[in-house]
Amino acid sequence: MHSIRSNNHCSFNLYNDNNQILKYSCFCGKAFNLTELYYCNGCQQINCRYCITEEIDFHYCPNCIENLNSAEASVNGNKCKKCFECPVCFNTLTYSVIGSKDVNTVTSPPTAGVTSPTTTAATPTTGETYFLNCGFCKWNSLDLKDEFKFDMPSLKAKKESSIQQLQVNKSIEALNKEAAELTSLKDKKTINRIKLAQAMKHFLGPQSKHQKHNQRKNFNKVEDRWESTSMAHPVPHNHLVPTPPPGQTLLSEAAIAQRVQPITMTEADQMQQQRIDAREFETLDPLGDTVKYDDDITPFLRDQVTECDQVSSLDQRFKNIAHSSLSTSSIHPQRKHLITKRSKRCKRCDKLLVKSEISLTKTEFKRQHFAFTYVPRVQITRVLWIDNDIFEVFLQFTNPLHIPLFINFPMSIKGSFISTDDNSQPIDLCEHETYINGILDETDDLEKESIIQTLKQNENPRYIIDRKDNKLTMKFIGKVGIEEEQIAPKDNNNNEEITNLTIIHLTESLANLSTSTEIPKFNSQFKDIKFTITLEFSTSSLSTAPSTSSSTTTADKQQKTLLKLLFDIPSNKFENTLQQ
Amino acid sequence: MQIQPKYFEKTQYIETLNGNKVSKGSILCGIMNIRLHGKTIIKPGVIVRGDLANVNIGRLSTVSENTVIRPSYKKFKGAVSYFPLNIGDHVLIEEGCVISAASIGSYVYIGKNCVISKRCILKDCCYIPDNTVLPPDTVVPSFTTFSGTPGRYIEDLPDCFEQYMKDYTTSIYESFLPINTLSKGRS
Repeated sequence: MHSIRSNNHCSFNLYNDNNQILKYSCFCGKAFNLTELYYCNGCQQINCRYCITEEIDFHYCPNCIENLNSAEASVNGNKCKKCFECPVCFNTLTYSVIGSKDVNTVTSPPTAGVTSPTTTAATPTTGETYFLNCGFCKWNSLDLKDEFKFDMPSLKAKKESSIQQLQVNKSIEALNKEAAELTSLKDKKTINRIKLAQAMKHFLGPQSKHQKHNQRKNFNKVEDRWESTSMAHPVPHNHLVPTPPPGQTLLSEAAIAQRVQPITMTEADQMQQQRIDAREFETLDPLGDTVKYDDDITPFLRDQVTECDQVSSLDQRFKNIAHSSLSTSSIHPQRKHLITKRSKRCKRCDKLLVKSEISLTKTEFKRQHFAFTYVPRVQITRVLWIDNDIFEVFLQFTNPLHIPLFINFPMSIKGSFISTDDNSQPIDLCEHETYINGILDETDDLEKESIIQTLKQNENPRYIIDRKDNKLTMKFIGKVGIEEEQIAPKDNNNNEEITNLTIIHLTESLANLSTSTEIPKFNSQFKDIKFTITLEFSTSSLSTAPSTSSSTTTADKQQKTLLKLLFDIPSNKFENTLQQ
Repeated sequence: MQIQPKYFEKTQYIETLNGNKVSKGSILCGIMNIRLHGKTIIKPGVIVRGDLANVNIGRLSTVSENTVIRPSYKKFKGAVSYFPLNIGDHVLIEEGCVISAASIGSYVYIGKNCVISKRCILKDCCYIPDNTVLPPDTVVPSFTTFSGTPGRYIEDLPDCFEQYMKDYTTSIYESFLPINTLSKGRS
């Protein structure tokens, strides 16, 4: 199997150039930075983010750090009850008092850390009214209607409902009722209808999975849910979704009256089929007269606008789905979206990899199986050219565990030594097993101790440069260009094929060039040197001297983990690349 | 790549018994109110306004060039009162920042040219990339990235960020060496 360098997912790894150089291959072949990987103890393998399943532990508001369970979050449309977001710059809004001359700002909800003053503005008089205020762009809710003025700070918003929303709520209610009635029947055809009704409901107002069982209880809450949920845009073309007739918006009263009709059985089946067929986006003819965008600026509005700030941006309109307005003066603040804490499981054996504490103030985990704390960490300490197209890499291995780790560079593996995009390969590396000390310099059993002693005696100073605490520095020699026989045929999906690594021992004088004082400069063929080093590690001795490798028991095999390190070193990181 | 060692001239830095390295080119106002908990590096051009309120900086933290650390204030009944500023352990603050937060947790990274406005609260394990402006009273929860102007929630951090920052800040401290030891080869 060929490993592929994948783009790091986290932006913090993208900002840091160093985190792009070395990637660790997951069992599935995708390679990421070490920080983004997990290590499953059960199957002794690395898990990338495609090899884990996530489940939401709880939701919390990023501003007031209040955690809610999924049911609570769903009732409020996955939004915080107290915190508002500025409609213009999306900053969190603060509550301020109307009337007082020096505007007394009250930090919106009582947050942890700084205790916000509870007694602001002398004595709280009875008639105090609060409004929302943005500390960044100076937007405030004074110009809006009374719905964003409150008697108390940190009070939830009043219900708002436009004609369109009420119409949709009615149709959801009808569907809900129908679904509830149909659940009592056990007809095959009715099941289809239930499914359809549920699909419609899901589309119109996302609900949590728990609500299947207590739909009746939630009838009255539909209204709340609709006004507070938002959907991703653009939505793929779907026949179940009514398309607006030209000149009208989707949710205008006429359009809804036209669309909402009783559904017959055949229609239901047909619609379901169409749903399956309609997995593609509708192509629009931009020149055709039939397409009329309802957000086209009318000539009237065009004359009024004097500054481009007066027209709302797409971002601002997407946040304001319910009443997306053309002008920034009439867009409303939105309640803050909740974010989630998730636990992660291994996809292969369903073992729990990461589970965080319920408390949000702690950063500890109930369970933490990060690759960062289980897999030897590798750093490049030095890389240089020793001849044309031959380079030398010094790698520092760090053992994150308390017990010694045994590592070995296998000479033959199932699959390929070469990864996709590789332009170089290692040609001279340590063939014998070696070890890295643990953080604590003590070994629990004598057997390990004796193995370490023998390994230490046999160790080749040519490859092993330095040993310090839980760190080990080793030397590798690689060359630009790939030997053909080491590339497993790509079209062959049989991953069981064994490939071998050829070792070329370089002459001592060449290999020791790095220690000489003056290093000649060399030209680099490629901008980036990409190669792969394959490594096995285990907490117990691998005992894989080349002669005995065939006789290793299956128990041993399960304990060691095969690790592929994918390097991508820019040529300017080499000490002696000729500058062009 | 391993972090390349950075060398400093011994005469330009004051080293304390518990391993703090404070540049003589930095301005520490109200030195009585500033507490460094050990192994902290303060680079030249840094201004710490200890005269306004107490400033605590935790272990193995680094404050880079030209950063201003200035405790935040709030008006109470017309009078201005300053909050003490606490910075946790393993915090890395890059060049040219203005920090007026109320508190900064441990394992926090703040990129170049960031503005952390008044009374912001940064919890443990968070990441603020370069050129971010956090508006006043922003709360940054654990394991999140906030970026942009104004700073907004962008994404979650990898779960091992705490271990990563421990490793990173420790290696930064260890590779910050006095120039005299240059000859004693680190290969």
